[in-house]
Amino acid sequence: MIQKFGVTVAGLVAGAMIGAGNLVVTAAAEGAEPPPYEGHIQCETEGDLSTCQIDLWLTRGYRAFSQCQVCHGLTGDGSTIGPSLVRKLREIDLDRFMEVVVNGYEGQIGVMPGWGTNPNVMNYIDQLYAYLLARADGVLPAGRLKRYDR
Amino acid sequence: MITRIPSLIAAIAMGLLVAVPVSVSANDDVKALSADVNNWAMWGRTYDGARYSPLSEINAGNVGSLQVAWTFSTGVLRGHEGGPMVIGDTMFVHTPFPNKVFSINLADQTINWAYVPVQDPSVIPVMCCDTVYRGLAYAEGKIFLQQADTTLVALDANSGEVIWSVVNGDPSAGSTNTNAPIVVNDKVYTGISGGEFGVRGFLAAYNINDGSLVWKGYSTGPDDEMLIDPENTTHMLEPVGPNSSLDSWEGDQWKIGGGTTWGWFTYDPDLNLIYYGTGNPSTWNPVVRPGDNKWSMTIFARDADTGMARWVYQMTPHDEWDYDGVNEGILADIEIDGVTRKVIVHFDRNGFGYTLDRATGELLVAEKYDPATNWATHVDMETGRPQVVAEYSTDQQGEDVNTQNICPAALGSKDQQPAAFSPRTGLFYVPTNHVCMDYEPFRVEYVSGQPYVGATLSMFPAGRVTGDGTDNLGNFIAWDAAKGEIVWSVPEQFSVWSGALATGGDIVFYGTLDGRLKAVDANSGAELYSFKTPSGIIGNVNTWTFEGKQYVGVLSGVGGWAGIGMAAGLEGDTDGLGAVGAYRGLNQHTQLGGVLTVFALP
Ligand code: HEC
Repeated sequence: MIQKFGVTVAGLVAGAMIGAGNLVVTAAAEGAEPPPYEGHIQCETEGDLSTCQIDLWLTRGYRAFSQCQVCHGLTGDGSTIGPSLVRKLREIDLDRFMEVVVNGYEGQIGVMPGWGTNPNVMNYIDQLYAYLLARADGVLPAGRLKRYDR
Repeated sequence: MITRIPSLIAAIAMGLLVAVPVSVSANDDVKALSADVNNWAMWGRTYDGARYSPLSEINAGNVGSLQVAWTFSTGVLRGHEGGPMVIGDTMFVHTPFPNKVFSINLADQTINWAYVPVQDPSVIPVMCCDTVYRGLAYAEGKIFLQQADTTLVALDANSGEVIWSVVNGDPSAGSTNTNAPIVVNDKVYTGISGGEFGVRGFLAAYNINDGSLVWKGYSTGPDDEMLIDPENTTHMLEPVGPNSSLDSWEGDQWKIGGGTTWGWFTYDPDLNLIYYGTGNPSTWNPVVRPGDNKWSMTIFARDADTGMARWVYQMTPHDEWDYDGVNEGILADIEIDGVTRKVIVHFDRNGFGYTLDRATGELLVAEKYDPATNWATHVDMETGRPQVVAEYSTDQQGEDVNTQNICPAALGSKDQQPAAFSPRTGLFYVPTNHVCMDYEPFRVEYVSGQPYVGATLSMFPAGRVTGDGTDNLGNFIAWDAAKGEIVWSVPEQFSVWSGALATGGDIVFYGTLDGRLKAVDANSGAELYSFKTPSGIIGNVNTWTFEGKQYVGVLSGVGGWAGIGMAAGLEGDTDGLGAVGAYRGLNQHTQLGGVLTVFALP
């Protein structure tokens, strides 16, 4: 993948647009599984991510993500320590995700810790994956979201 | 592993080191070395941590023509904190994990020896905020290296051979080290990191000759384990009384309660006291640890020989924001109300600049050094307690509630980046962050050796809260510690995460996250020099002489917590800041990579 150093904001928004586009196509494909975050996000205005709210289930995914922030950046868009999860989740499948999160690995960039014994991650691993995939698919903005089921 | 060097160069280096007078005790040795303005023999140059050098060949009049004299790549990518140490004609350079040490011959910039410890890479993910390391200590022909895996090593300064090594903690239980040790008399002092893993903090003193543990004083727990004397250890001039720590925690939470000690240490030879701060209590969720959580978030003054605590002062009782109290305490003699006082000045993560009597711990001044600070209105000078604003109390707002627009952010108004003090201007020069946050605590389970965070946060420029239309993430300020006032303030686009240097040339140096070494006028803050180094600077600027010529050196190599918050651009770029909101992410300015850049006049 080509690394672009355009304005971060623009890059993110563009990424989000492409992601959203793909999503429509995927959803329309015959027999395709709905994405795991489906049914957990409600947006007041379609296309305006700032109006989106999530339920408790997906909030748990965001909280589990707080264990990843120190390395993958506060927004998950990467930092000087770890790669962007927003981009990674477009590249890897659920099996690979489970493999690296449970067992960790040492790669070219550094060391990804394993979380297999950490209940704060493992108890919410489905929610975490769904949350990150929603970010990668551009259907959720970065940062904390309001809950609609409170 | 030791890389051997041609013996001729080694001999030259040794000859030059031997030229330094050999003295009876390390205290005298280190004192003599640091009294010699040609050296930079410890992290703060002198025990007081002033980061001041009387050298004045480079001064306000000529610094504009500063040039790069030479550069040196460390071969390590991660964040480079701390700075080069210079003794005689030899420079010692350290790196982040794997914590290499280079001895460099200043005559021709060749490597006398390099020491590369073998460390298990599994320690890397246990380090909360990058694999930074803040530097070495030197005494009596020995270099003291504090490795990430907690191993403290004494190396022969002439050969790089290991003399002894000792294990200071257990990385599998979350303990790591990032701090620079210091040496006083026959002891080398070190702390511990791992507050995000529930590690219980301590300061340890090891014998410099054989590495044996002399004493260890914990930050929390029973009085005897903390080396606290209930009758004679004071807080706000009053004895702390029995069980001061145990009574301020619920149950056994103190055992995993943090109070780690990863900052800088200073020392007063006349009082024989060693000063340092303790970090945040764990977890980041304050609701599960009612009480003041003593003595986390505390300045300790300990007897250097016995470790007994003389006095303590807790800046942030019952932390609710991750405002670690580990920042350095600079020792200075300044005039307050017409009387010269021996003070310790401490710029806390919590946004207050504190001035205390360093003999007694009496609180003299506590004022905001970033006006954006809003979590407390002020510090009550009678009780020493900050007056917390309910709106920004993550405890009072409660678990699962997003407390918004708290200033400063968890990074603090200042993090580890040490300030400088110039006795010529009487001012403190402080690299600061200007960042605020939203903070939502939630319940987590403790697992040994696993991160223990317990809050989600987001961060953004303080201007979004103050509403003054600014979007700078940092300021470089001059501070009057007697009055508790900002004298001047220079805005910086990013947090200033580099250690400052003040000199007899009435200039102050600091580095920026986008990689610039800057020199400003010590009186006005006016920029006199700026040079773009290879990477973002989170290291300290140091100065020394070689063959009668003054040099200034700094490590660049972006990373650390600064890199975590900002490498990909803070969130919220699009909202709240209007036209100036599109400030750009750090990755457009800089990439990883450690390089030492050395400057001199042509
Ligand atoms: C201590 C730092 C650290 C933490 C904490 C961390 N990671 Fe990582 N992670 C890394 C690093 C470094 C890499 C890149 C390793 C490499 O490829 O060299 C990585 C890579 C990854 C990858 C990419 C895998 C691939 O196949 O390319 C995923 C997915 C990932 N991490 C998910 C997570 C999740 C989810 C969390 C939180 C539960 C998390 N990480 C927490 C450091 C960390």
